[in-house]
Amino acid sequence: LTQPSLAEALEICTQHCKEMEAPLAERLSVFASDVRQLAPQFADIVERMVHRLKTNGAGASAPAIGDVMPPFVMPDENGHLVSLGQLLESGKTVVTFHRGHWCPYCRINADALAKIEPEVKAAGGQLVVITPEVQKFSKQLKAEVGADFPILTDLDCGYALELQLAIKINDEKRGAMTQAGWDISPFQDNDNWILPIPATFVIGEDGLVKARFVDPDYRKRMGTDELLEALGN
Amino acid sequence: VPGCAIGKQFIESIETILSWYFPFGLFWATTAAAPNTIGRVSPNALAEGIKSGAVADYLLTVAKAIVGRKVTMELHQIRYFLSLSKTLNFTRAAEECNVSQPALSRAISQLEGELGAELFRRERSLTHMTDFGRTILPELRQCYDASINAKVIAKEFLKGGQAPLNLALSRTIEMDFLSPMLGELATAFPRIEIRISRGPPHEIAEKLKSGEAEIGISGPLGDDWVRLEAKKLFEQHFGMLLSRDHRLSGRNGIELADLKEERLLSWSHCTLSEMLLTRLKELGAQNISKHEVPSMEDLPELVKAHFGVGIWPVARRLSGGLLVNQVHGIDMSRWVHVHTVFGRRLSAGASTFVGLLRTRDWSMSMPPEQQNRESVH
Repeated sequence: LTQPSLAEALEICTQHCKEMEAPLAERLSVFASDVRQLAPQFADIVERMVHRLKTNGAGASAPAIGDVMPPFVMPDENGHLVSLGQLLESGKTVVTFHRGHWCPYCRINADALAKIEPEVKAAGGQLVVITPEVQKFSKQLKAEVGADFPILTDLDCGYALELQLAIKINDEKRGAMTQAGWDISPFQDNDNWILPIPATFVIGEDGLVKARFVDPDYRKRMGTDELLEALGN
Repeated sequence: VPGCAIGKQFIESIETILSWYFPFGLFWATTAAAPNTIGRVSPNALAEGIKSGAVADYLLTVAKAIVGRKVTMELHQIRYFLSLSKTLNFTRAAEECNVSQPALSRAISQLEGELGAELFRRERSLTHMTDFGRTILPELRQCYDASINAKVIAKEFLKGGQAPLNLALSRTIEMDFLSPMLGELATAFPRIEIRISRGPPHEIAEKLKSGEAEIGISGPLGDDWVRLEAKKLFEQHFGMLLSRDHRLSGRNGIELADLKEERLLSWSHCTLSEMLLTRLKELGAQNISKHEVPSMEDLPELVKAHFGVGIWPVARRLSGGLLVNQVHGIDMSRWVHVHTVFGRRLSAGASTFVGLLRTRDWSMSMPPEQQNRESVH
């Protein structure tokens, strides 16, 4: 009999947290405590990584409120090129970095974004999610959460590095992730084990950052209320 | 105050410290002496600046910037790392990067701090790269290149990108596979000129080496030049092209031995045909006849006329009267790769195209029976 991997064991928790009637922050924290309960050693490794990133000030110099968001051009899940410039022509844009379709926190986050998408549109805004994953997996994430927004590929984390959001997964975390059933290499078409720090930027039509959320603790994401409020301004 | 020795020493020590953070030299706005100009200040202007508070403001800005910049995996850190890995000499790497040696040294230490291990071992005058440094080098280089390319693409999108793009393709790759991406490319860079050539693997390798082609799309090139880089795209499957009334057409797959009596048709330098021929000779088919045609398009008519049989891509559309049957006992598939030359900076168009190829969901372009195959390595 083979033991289910941590990824498989967490599937029920992920579904549960996606469907919970609670603010995003609460759903994410319920999931984090599920991880701690199921795999305390894994949770310890996560804590160590987050601590190391925080000590080094990871993500601190990503574009701040009032900065110009650097332009990008990336393919969406169908292979069509999408540019920030063209997005801004049709309105305010929320740019969110996710780690990938395999990451339960990102799935819960993407699901929450898909649920507020009508409100975002009503406020004259639009959403885009950026991951380092190739189209096959972007399609899976998009279908899973029933999103209308495009999921763009930041191949080899080039744009994330430009924004100083790229982090290298160390051997300890890499080993723990592979063992848990999250080997990300095939998803990213490289063997680099570099991931973006999940972050959200609300960008005005003038191309300036109106609000941002950057936390090297990948278990924390911009709240949907905060996001909608930033769009309303 | 001009002429004050302690004041001068104080400023000098601040300058030394700040030059670590601002290796291009210490500059500030001499708002008091000459509004709207930026430059290295004279002692008099500095005195004015101190009086007006402009220097205090400046130092505060610098301090904030330093605190804010205490970050990880920055582009410049990786650039210094790449340079130092080449030169293995702090002084020469600093020269190459146009920064002071202490600034380079500090950035490398910061990167080591973030990665949690030493990249270099400093032993007296010698600098060695550690095993960790060697392992992480290609990973960080790829991320760095991606970042530089992403910036160039964003800058040239819808405007520049008129540099001609030369693609060298294997002869068995149908344009259907590439046309959606070529369409995207033409929209992104309206003035781009694309030149496509086709040829056998060794010719593609030569074109990449000489710079005649920026990108090659083909199976393995069979060339051991160390600067050739390849990324897997999709698996291409081949079978035997037969006329529908051929004795082997009704079977569910062909055995290798069945082919011993056949006339084998091949286009020139077809590596799969050569492999098949070698296997058949091993099986004792010493007198098998092989016929060569200049291009694969010449094959169907000859097969239809019962001149012989030949290798054909399973996914390729066929005219009436023909079919492709798979061959057992020999691996008739190969991975199509995108080939580029390591260290050669790609044009905006070329790097966009490589990105579109690598991110593509190829299962969409495959015939239904192949769609379930795993196309990711």
